[in-house]
Amino acid sequence: MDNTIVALMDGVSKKLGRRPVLRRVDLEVRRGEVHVLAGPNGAGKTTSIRVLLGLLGRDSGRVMVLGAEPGRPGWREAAARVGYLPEDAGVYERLTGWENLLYYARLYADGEEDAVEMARYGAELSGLGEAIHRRAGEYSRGMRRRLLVARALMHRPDLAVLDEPTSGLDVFSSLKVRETVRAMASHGTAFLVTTHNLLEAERLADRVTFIVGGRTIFTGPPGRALNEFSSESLEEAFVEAVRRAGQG
Amino acid sequence: MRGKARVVAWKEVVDLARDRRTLAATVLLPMAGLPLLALLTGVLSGLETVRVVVYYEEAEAYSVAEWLAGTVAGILESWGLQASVAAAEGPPQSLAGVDVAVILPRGFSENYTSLDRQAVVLVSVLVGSPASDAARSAVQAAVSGLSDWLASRRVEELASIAGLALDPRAVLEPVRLETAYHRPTGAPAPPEAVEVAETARLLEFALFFAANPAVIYMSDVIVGERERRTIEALLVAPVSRRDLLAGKIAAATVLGLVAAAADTVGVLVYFAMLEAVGIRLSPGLAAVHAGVTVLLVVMTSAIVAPIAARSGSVRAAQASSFLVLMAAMAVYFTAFTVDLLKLPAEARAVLYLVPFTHAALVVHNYILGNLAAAAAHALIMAAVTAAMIPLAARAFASEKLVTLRP
Repeated sequence: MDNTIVALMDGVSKKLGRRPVLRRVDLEVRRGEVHVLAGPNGAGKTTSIRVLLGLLGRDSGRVMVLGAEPGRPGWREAAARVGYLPEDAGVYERLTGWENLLYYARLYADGEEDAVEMARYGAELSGLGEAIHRRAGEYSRGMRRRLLVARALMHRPDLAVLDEPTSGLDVFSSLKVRETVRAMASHGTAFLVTTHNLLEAERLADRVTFIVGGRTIFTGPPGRALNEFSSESLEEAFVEAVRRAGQG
Repeated sequence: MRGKARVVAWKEVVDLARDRRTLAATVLLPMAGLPLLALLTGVLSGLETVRVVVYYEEAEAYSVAEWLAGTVAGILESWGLQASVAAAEGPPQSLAGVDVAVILPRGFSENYTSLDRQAVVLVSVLVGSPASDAARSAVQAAVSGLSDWLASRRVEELASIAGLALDPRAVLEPVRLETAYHRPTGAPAPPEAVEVAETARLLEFALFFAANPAVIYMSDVIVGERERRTIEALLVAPVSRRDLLAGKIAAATVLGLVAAAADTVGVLVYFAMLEAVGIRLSPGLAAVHAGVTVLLVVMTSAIVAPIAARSGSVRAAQASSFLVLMAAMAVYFTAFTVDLLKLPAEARAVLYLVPFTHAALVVHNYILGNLAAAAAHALIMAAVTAAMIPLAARAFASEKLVTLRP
């Protein structure tokens, strides 16, 4: 595998029960890039992420993350270098924000000192201020999401997989998340971000992959998408791509 | 415990310590439930008033009627019952409102004072009342005492007529039964051992109170992770399924210790409240009970974990776990009413397949002095736990954990 590629899905298919949800999905995420996986609801974005991270098996195709295949030797070490924010993820409500961060920091860190340092960085990323010491059950939806984004990024992963990271966030918090993603990407972290908000994808992405009906129908920089589909916005490009793929 | 498992256990314990509802169910149920049971059965039954009337149909029987009334009242009060006992002249006009009517009929005194006739006491008992049953027992005890005293007096009189010097007990009870106790090994056992064994039977039943919170807790910590949508990030984190499970079971053990302490306190208070029953708890039995409770909680957690991991929702997990609870209930109720070791081999073999049976048998064998057998059953519990943990770890890896919706 090209050593600039940190995550790869090559012709991956997956059925849930009898229903095919992924049909030969191809995806490459490179070091230091923000790769947006865009598609409508039910397109297969979350299933792709779950297969990539080994939460779901696959029926065919190849998956590699940071040089390791899910569930195979070396996977545990690779997983330690991945940050993951699931869609609609929850917090431990009886724990404070700080304890939520510290719990995960202890799972990722090598020792207590590292864990506390990691959690401190997470608290800073969350921007929750003094509220970090309140029970997470008292947080608003936006505060919870900020805590979870921070939890996914506090160990400075090589690959961060964020499923709808700005869902439920206000304008300022969304902007803060995008700034954090850009800043960390500039230091080498690769981001795979899913969204159905193509305006956000346009602002954030170095490269974008369109997925519709479990199939990837385009991969490339947003500018190329605009050219290829003769569009003025990524939203228009996506609609045209879907139309050409016969899914519209 | 390995590092990551310790981290998981820390989080679970902090979470648990703040979960007032589970703690209340764990601590209050056994600690307050058993004393409440004693209160209901003992104290409340003592609040009932038992009405006994001793009717005498001839004036000569007045003194016997008075004695019987006083004796019955004393017996009922010694049993903690409130008694209203009176002697009344004449045949009863109506027995309404009377729990037990004792009637000394005409001719009673003549028969009572003769040497060769039997005096009859008639008793009428109100049907369908536990209080009237208690009153009948008290009347029976009083009449039996009166009869024994009268028999001795008659024997003395007859001996005097015959010019014999004898002990009336040798005539009235020519064969006497003397009871001693022994252990299964044949070694003699002191009379207190009977009370301790009775206590052990109650403790075997009380084990159910420890299994119950473990089932509730394990169902929640596994399926709850999915319903609260915290499971996915956890499954991707660098922690093995086995460490995850070990951490959760360790937290369940902490809960088990709390449950065991509460359970033991509840049982002690229960026994203290029913002191009159003569139940005895030795320090060794208390320690074995506490130890087996902890073991039981860990084993129950390991049994429930794979069931919970494969259930579609907390409700489904609790419904499945209810079957586990029913099995535990059946075993501990059976242990309370039946001597498990006296059952035929086939019946025992079936019961041995239910892991909860072994917890009861640890206590049962300890009390019989079969320490090796007690240890063997404890080992079986440990082995079941060890076998269930990998099964639960595999269930944790199931796609169901991620794909099923509440």
